[in-house]
Amino acid sequence: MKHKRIGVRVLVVSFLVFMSAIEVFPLYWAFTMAFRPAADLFAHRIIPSSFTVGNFVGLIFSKNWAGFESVSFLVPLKNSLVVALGTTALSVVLSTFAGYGLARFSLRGKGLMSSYILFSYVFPPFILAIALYGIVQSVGLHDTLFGLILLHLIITVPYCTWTLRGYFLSLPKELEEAAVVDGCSRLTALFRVVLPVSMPGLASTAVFAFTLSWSDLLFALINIDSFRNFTLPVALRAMVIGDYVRWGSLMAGVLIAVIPPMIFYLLLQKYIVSGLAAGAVKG
Amino acid sequence: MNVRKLGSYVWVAPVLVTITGLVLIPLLWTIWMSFQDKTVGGQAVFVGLHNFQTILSSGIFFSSFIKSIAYTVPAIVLKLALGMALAIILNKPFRGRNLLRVWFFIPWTIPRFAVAIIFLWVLSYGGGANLFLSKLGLTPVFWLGPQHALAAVTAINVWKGYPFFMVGILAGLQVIPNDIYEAAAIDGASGIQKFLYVTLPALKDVILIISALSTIWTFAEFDIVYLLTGGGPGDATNILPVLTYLTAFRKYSMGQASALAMLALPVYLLLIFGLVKLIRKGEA
Repeated sequence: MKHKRIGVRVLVVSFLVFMSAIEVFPLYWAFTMAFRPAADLFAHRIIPSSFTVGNFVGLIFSKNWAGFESVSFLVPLKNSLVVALGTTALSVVLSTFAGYGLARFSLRGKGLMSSYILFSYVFPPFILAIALYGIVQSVGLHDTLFGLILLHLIITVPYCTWTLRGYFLSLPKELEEAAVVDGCSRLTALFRVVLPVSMPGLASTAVFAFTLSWSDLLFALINIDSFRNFTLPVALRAMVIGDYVRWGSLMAGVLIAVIPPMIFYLLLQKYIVSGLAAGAVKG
Repeated sequence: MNVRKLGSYVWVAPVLVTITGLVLIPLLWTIWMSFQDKTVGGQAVFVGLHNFQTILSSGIFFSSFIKSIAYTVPAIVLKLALGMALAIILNKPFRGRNLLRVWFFIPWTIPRFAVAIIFLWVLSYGGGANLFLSKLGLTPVFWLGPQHALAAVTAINVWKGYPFFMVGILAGLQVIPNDIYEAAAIDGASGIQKFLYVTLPALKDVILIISALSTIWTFAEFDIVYLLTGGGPGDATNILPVLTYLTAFRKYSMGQASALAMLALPVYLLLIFGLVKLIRKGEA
């Protein structure tokens, strides 16, 4: 019995070590490259020979990151921030009202509406991209950041509505019933009573909406043409399709793009499953 | 219906309008477009089933469909196996458990486009994977060449996706009441029996929902494959989302791209309706 226990333990530890190695090797390789001098590239060294921030400096201060003179790399960084913040603000406002309505009001067809929202959340964006390209073009929003924000609402609004609906459902009804009995309107009750206690739910929903928009490649590809409107994913892609790839600055760019969502996710890890799987997990 | 009742619908209306405009109308437009001959900027001309005929007779749809399945099925099986193993291990109490939960979650926090570019560098001929092989005295491999490309992008999908299974199953494990295990132990159940007759049945719904969700996402995966191989070399990794994108935005044939999407649609709808039903059932 005891021998068996030790055998299992060795097996478990080896599995964890193996998985860790697989997980960490690509990240190590990519992120040390961001801090390596270019000479290291052909020297076949696993350990960097020296440490430099030159890749970051070069990326940010030269306008030559895509292989020819264009805009500063700060422009796609700024565009990604603008689009992600705009998308987040719009979707959280829309979804708060809808999520609250679906959780609390007796609406006819409520079940159907909830299913419709869930359906939209998981519907594959690539199928919609063909039509949306034409639609956004016909309303004159092609190659604009505002057009991209509208497109990103597909990714964020169903997600936010569904999560906030679940969050409001988990709050006790008595909370705002007292306020409504006291003569508050539904709207006042929402703002004075419900929202103040919903801050953790609102904050995590907003943060995930931000990362969903921040991570989008497909809609940026179809809607953005000019360098001054590039977001980070299309900017980094432009660095790959050039004649030769400057891996050092490319990895510096990837690192810049990875940090915000990584921090957000790790801070809010416990809320992650609560979104979709919650219905089943609660049991 | 009184005014107050009508007022309640105003709360939900903006979201329903947004979703209808961004999902339902584009979907209907795509169905209509699959019967038209249209290039970007050109006029649409009704051509009946011609688009379907073209993509079916050239065999491009079937070869792409098979690649999508060869990409999705192994990816889901591996993600489920790895996620389940990690969840079970990290559900046992031991020191450093919370740290390891965060540690193994990291790949999920990295945006798909960034995962793709990281692996583009790792798998490039002079990159980390080959450097590692050469240190072991092995010959370097063209990871993204015709022979290995599909396996490589599948492995990357697994690398990125297993944490989703891990956290989902972990959450499911945490709500199984302990007394069931105690009762099973009193009845003399072994560890394997406990897993088969207590853990697995209790996790059934969670596993189904997470697998369905991940299958939809994987079958619709675009970013990783498009950035790493662009569907190539040749047609080696030309899965449906990439083929549809290239048909619409490189060949500029909106009609054929729509027809491709329509042929794939039943698979997605089946998965989506199944998933929606499962989740709504879990809520009731």
